[in-house]
Amino acid sequence: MGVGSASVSPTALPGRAAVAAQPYVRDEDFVAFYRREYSAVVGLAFVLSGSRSVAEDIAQDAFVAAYRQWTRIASYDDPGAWLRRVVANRSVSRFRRATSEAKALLRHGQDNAVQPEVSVEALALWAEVRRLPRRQAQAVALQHVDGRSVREVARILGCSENTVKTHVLRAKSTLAHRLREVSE
Amino acid sequence: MTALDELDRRLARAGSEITTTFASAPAGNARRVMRRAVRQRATMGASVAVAAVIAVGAVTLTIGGDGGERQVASRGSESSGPGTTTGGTTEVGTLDDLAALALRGGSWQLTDASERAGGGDSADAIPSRHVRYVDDAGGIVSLDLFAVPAGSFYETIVPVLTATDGFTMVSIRGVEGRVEADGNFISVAWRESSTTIASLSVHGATDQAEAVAIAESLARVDQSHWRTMMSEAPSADGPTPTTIED
Repeated sequence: MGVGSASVSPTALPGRAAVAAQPYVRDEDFVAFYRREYSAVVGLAFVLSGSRSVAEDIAQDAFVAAYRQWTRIASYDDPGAWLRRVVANRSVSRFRRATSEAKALLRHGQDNAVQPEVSVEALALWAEVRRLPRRQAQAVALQHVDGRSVREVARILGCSENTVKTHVLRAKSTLAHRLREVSE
Repeated sequence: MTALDELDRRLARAGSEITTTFASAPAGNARRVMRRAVRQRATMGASVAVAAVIAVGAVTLTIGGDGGERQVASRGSESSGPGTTTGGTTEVGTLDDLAALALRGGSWQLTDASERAGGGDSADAIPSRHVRYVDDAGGIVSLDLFAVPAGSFYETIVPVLTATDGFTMVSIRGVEGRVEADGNFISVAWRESSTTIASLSVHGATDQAEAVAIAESLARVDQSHWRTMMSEAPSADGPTPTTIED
């Protein structure tokens, strides 16, 4: 899993106003960071992985990784952006790997996933998003679940804003086509 | 309204649903996350001390981690040899056994993961299987199964920090020495072959007794099934999974 590629340099992260002014150097700061970011990153992981429990695992792993490097990550303008890159990468990777697990669950007839109360329509739409190429799916999720701007998505994913725009454009074109097919 | 307009509207609504739903979800325990991170850092920092234990057969190993110095009991770290397990702990079982394990009346959910021994963002990730238990009260117990290549850094540290009696599964039952300070973390490791070590860790149990119960239950699962699980681990983005062969 490519978490090794998830490191984000301090200067590469956007400074969200509400976060940038806060130093993260103590355990209390990490606890606050955890509480503030947890639900958002689990939601992001959920739409990218399709499983709430997997999403929670991914989020927990990402927070563990963050705490292990807390002194460094706390110095970033936006530690949440680092967290989101880790979560986004792990979600997509784990989603792919979960394919075999899903087959096992089907084989044993016991999908015990605890899914959130989200409408069927929304679940179906996110399922389509997960079928997109990984970068496209990540960009769409970051924009529409996490409310990130194109610039922020670019910083999180480590690419240019134009690349993000291209990803989103292609993603929406594909999604619109698929949804049109479904409705016809 | 164009198709793209309609899509934007649906994405906005679907995103809002996710945000609203997860905003009210319990956030879990930050302190538990911190303890787990400290354990991982301690694991990474223990490699030097391990050599001393192997050399003198010490019964107690003191390791220092970012969470402070602590003692980890050990009855030695000698390998019991390729493929060796003792104590009759390998009763035939299947994934069904694992899934049906009804501790606290809950249910099992299996997920697939790639975990790094010792955690972190180092480049040498290892494949793993992640087994997750969710009880009726929403409590979570996670089990990580992973194999490490012989001769790697992990082979040195995993036995000392995870094995209770060399590399044998039977030592699960003597797990007291391996329970960490927070009382809910247990690991065991065993040698699968001359080239591979497998390790199982239990974390997230509510207390020591539960962690012991889980470890003992897992000891009844056929190890060959675990080998299959790990050898089947896909690797779309990660390293080539370690295929365990006797």
